[in-house]
Amino acid sequence: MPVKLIVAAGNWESKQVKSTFTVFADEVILVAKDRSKQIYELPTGARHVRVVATPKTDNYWETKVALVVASNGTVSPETGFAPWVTVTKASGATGGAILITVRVSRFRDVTGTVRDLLKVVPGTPGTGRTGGAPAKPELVATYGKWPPDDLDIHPLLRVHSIDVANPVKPGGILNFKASAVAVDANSVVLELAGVKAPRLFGVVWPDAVPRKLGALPTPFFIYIRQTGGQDRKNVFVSGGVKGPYPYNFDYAERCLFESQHYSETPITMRKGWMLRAKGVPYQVARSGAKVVTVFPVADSDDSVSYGVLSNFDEMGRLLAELQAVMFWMVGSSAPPRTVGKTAIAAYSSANGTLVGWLNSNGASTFLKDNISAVYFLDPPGVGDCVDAGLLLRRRLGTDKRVRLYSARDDSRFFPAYRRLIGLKATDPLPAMPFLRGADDNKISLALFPLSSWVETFKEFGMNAFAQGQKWQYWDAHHLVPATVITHALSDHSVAGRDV
Amino acid sequence: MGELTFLLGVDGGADAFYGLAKKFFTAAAATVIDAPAVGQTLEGVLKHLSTLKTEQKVINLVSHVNGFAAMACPVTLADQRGGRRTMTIDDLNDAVAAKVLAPPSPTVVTAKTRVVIYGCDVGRVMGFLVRLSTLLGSPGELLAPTRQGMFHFDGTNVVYRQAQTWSVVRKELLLPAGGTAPVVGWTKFRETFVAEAVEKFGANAIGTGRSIDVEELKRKLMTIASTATTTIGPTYFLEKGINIHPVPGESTKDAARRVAPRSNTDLVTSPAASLEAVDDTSLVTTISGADAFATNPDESAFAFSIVVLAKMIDVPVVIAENDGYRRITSSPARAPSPGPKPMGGGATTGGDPSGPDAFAEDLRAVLDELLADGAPQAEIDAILAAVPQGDATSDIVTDVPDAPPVPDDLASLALPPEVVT
Repeated sequence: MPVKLIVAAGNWESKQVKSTFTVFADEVILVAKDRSKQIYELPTGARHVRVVATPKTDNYWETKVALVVASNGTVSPETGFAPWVTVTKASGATGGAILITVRVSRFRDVTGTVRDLLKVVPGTPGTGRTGGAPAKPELVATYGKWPPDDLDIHPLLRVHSIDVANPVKPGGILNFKASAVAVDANSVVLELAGVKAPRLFGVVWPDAVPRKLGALPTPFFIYIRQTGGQDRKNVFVSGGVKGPYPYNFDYAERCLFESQHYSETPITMRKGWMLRAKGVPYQVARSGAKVVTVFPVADSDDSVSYGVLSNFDEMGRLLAELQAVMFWMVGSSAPPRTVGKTAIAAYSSANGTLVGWLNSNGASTFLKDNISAVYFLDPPGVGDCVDAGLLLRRRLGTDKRVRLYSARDDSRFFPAYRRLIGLKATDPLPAMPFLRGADDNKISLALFPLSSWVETFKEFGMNAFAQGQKWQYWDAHHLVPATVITHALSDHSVAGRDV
Repeated sequence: MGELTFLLGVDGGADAFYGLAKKFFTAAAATVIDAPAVGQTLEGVLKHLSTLKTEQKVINLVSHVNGFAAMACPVTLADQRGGRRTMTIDDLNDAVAAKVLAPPSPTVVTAKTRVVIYGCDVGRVMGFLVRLSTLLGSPGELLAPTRQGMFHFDGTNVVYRQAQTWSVVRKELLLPAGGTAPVVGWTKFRETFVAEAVEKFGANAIGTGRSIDVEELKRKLMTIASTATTTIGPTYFLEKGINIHPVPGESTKDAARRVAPRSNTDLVTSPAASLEAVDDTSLVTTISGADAFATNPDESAFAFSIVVLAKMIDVPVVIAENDGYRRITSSPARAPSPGPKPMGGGATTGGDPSGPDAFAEDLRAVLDELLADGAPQAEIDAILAAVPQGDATSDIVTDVPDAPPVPDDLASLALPPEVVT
């Protein structure tokens, strides 16, 4: 009786993913022996087997695996394929059966593809891009070199980080200290199959979050940058951008790379206008939180935007799937069955998105069990964010963390600021700038207006106006997300860490 | 030569099972052998076969089944005369051991003969099939349904269909004598039945360790039950029982109490892979004398009640080793049969050969062969356990509402003040 090769495909939970299979033995395609084309006969003497599992659904990517057949007939994955395939065998007196279970994922690694997108800056060399979109000279001036060699988060020698215990100094100056920061992490970009958005997910996985058998559920921090529709008018239209979402330069640079990197340090003069590096991984590292940061890349069509992330339970499933594929990528075949606590930060217009999500996912298990904190980073709609945050705590308990960091010192927002930290309508707000905690530090409110940033830069020898830059609110607007995440993810007095 | 079909019973009351079956097979150009007025016996079938001179390709046996591996056809005429109405695995055991029945000629029932049982779920009990096959002269194949079956007039033709079922052993008859609805009324009965079924099948679902939502199971069964009555239709209730045979001098109560435990299926070794698979095929129902109850105040009459909620699977039944049929062979397996094709269109076709259960069927065949080749059961079980189950796409969300409009107060829309002069 010949040895039967049986092939099947499943996801990280060992749930079936119906697929078509192509099976090679020593590079010869085998002919299936059954109706579903999943059962083959292993030719006598075959030494190598390759299996291509092509899911019949658009929601999973194809997986190719290679296996080696030992002289005693044992079939095992070739080096590097072990997490992507399992082998189970049964032997009779004259024959046997070998089940090859191929793991397929909703995510695939596209790090190299995205890195390559950064190599060619749109537009005509030597001329600027319209609308303030960064051309190559500005990119070089900001990041030191362009294009980058890779998407790694390289060490920086002098990064200014806010002093989380004493964020404000006398004189209305924000308290920053400079030091070297090394983000010991694996930085990759994954593509999600079968959705309108988000198609791309930047992932920065610190070495301090182990990927090994018995690892605890992974804590996540999701950074939601501003929605992309605004970029269409001033950025995406300029310079002859090529390629639809998500594979063009501006999605790779503006919507991902810019969030993940710094121009040396956040306390530095901008080199242009649109390019405002946020350095989120550096802030996470400086906070001391052992958390994986995820950077979804939205479609610049605002009606699509962050797509399926609007469903929190789907967000949870995606993080679990992402966790699994990240474990497989380092050779660990047993990811945790669930994910850990998750914090979500939204910046600028994305705060409206986050508020919508919070208000429409009241029954979400992932919101109830996993989402432990929401961070509103200089939201336009302060009141909506405050109300959504307070409602979250009322519905799901006061251990949910709500932190709002604002640069808006317009008095029309003051009532909302007061509501957040439990002040009466007649109570005065602290003198700006300030950062106040409430309810055992499970609530934070920071108000860092433009004036505080101007004074802070002066302390470090940078006078924006003297140096020809007419700073306005928008400068403070970008500096908030570039600095305050260090505080949000820090170990808060009494409250402890959010994730 | 057409197929040879034996109707093993006759209709009584409102039951039209055999009448519809006769129309089905007649339309398919089969030779139909009616049952005697008192019903057919296995002995009668064998006697008819003994009159034939040529090899039979397909022999169909159409019979009611009580759901606990008992076809409504006594083994012998003597049994029938003695009041027996069914043929159980014990009866077949006795018949094989006693050699009371002469097998048909090996030139009539051969290694190329396929015997197909039409009716209900007798295929769930392998031992029954093995013994029946032996008594029928070890045909090349014997196929028997693992689900409840029915003949159904679809408006144009009579078609053969199977049903997904959920059985609950109860201690009250579904309908009171002469009644057309449960004593508590259909609405209350449905609620009670579904609650009992969810308790039984939901526990089994949870025990599989898979993400089967008991609330979802409840909603599903309530939906199915909501239109079900005892009238055979897209959904329906059916009551099955066990015959009680007092020996001389024995009370009906004592005879009922000594009914040995019996199950409606072999031991189920693979857990239900999904909510869809949670039904009678993935959970063993066992009854015993303790389940009997008095049907009158003086306890002179006893009965068993297995109430079955059924949902018709309105697709043609493929007569092959699959989700709805079990096959035993005494010769190399043959290609799947499409079953008889009624003239006039509609009805039975071969179905999709690469349908959702094709892999499971073919895998099972490979593993059965390997098991016969001496592979350890543990290794077979390991392969079965390693095969991905369920549907990884079932929970995926891809369609979400459009995102809300974005406010105008946006950084990227603002041009640098150095430029705007």
